[in-house]
Parts: sequence; C-alpha cells; structure tokens
Amino acid sequence: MNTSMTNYNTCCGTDALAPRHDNVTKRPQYYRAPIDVYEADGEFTIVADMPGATADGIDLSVEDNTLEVTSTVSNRYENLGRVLHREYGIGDFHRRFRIGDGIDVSQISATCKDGILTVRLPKLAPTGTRTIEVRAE
Amino acid sequence: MNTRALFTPAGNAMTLVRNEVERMFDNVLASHSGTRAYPSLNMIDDDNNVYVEAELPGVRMEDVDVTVADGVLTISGRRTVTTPVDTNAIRRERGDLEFERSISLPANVEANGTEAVLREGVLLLTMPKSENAKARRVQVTEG
Repeated sequence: MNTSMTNYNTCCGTDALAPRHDNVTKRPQYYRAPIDVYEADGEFTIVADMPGATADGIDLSVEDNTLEVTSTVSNRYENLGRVLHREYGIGDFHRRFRIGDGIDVSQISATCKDGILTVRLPKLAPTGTRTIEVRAE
Repeated sequence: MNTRALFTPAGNAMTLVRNEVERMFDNVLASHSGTRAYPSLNMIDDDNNVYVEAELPGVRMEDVDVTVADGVLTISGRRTVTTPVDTNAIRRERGDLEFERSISLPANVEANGTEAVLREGVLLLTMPKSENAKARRVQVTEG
C-alpha cells in the first residue's frame, strides 16, 4: 500500500503562487514554513513553524492527492507606526504535499499553538490485503 | 555598569563582551547575503514607543531572556524540538534553537517600562521612549 508522502514543492516563490496581473494585492508573497514530518505506525504528522498564524487563519485542503496548507497572517504593523529596521517580511505561509492513497483524508486534523501548526494524517486501515493460508492436501 | 535585567538576572561582564563581539559579527554578516543571525528582528516606532519584534515559533516565554544595557537590546533563548514517541522523522527542516541577538535601540527608552508579549510564536517588545526622546511640538508665536 502506498502511504508515501512527498513534499514536492521545494519552493513556493512568488512565480508559482502569486496572483498574476494583480499589482494591487497587498501581500502577494508567500513564505515557505519549515517543516518536520514524522511517521508512526498509524499516522503521519507534519509540524510546521508558522509564527503569527492563528487557527482560524489556517486553511487545509486535499485535492488530487495533494495536501495544501495556507496560513493567512495578518499585517501586524498596520497600526503600529513606521518600520525603522526590517530583517523579515510578514505574509502568508504556504506548503503543498503529495500524499499517497494510504491516507484517510476524511480524518486529517490540525492544531495550531505558539506559532506551530501540527497536522495529523491517519493512515487508512489496511484493506484488500489478506493472508491466504495454503493447506497441504 | 548600566545593565538592567528585565526578565532574568543581568548578564555578567563576559556576556556583555560576547554580545558586543556577536554584534560586530552580525554587522559583518549582514553585509553579505546568505548567513543570518537568529532571530531576525524588525523594529518599529511611533511617537511614544519603540517596538522590536522577533519570530520565535515554539519558544516559551520562560525560555526567553530580554535585557537592555546602554541602549543595546539583547534577546536570547532556546527551543528544543522533540521527536514524538514511537515515530521516525522522515523529514527535518526545523531544529533546536539556541540564540542570542543584540540590536542597538534608536532612541532612549525606558527599559523599566519594557513589556514583552509572546503570542502565536511572535515576540513583541514594547519600550516606551523616555520623555526627552519624544518628539515635541514647539509652539511658534509671532514676536
């Protein structure tokens, strides 16, 4: 059974994901969140650093064996004043993962705490595999 | 020594020296693309406050030290990434963090009044400007 999960989107720069022909988009840049992926007997777990992300701003979708994670991060500086020194930008996070047929898509769940997103992808219980005993006659 | 610890006991002289050396390195590294000191810092100000922000996902407040000494703000701390039990890591991009970063503050701030909030993995320090650092409107009268 194929339970592989491949992160094929090594970089999600503006070329691939920014809205085209839309120069007025406020923050057209997506940030690539660093992730860890763990595999246990029954599930995969993705852990992503997404500082500034809140649970209600995170969108998870699965289509064509692709898990897409988008996290909308609000512009915290809007009401703060003028930026004197900037070493990093603030914007939405995005990652995509190829998931195998062995994932129970309906049971995917996610939590977000302290800027860390944790996504659990339970494996489907094995079906269609059975051992056939061969008896000697 | 005008060292004021905000959340932890003040660093010793050696720490200050190290901070200074690292700050020099930060400046050198910043001029070359690629290598970056952690954490990256943003600084914002308005009429009353200076704000310094750092992205520290997964870092707990008790693991962060913030000090201000002679107009230099230092943020240090750590994060340990634990592998869930009975799992194999099949991809690792995150890692343990042990960081210390200093930045010069632009205006005199009241270190006493510094507030730190760590929310959703973002540390925001709010430092009130001292009275004489605030912009003042001077009334011009016809003479």
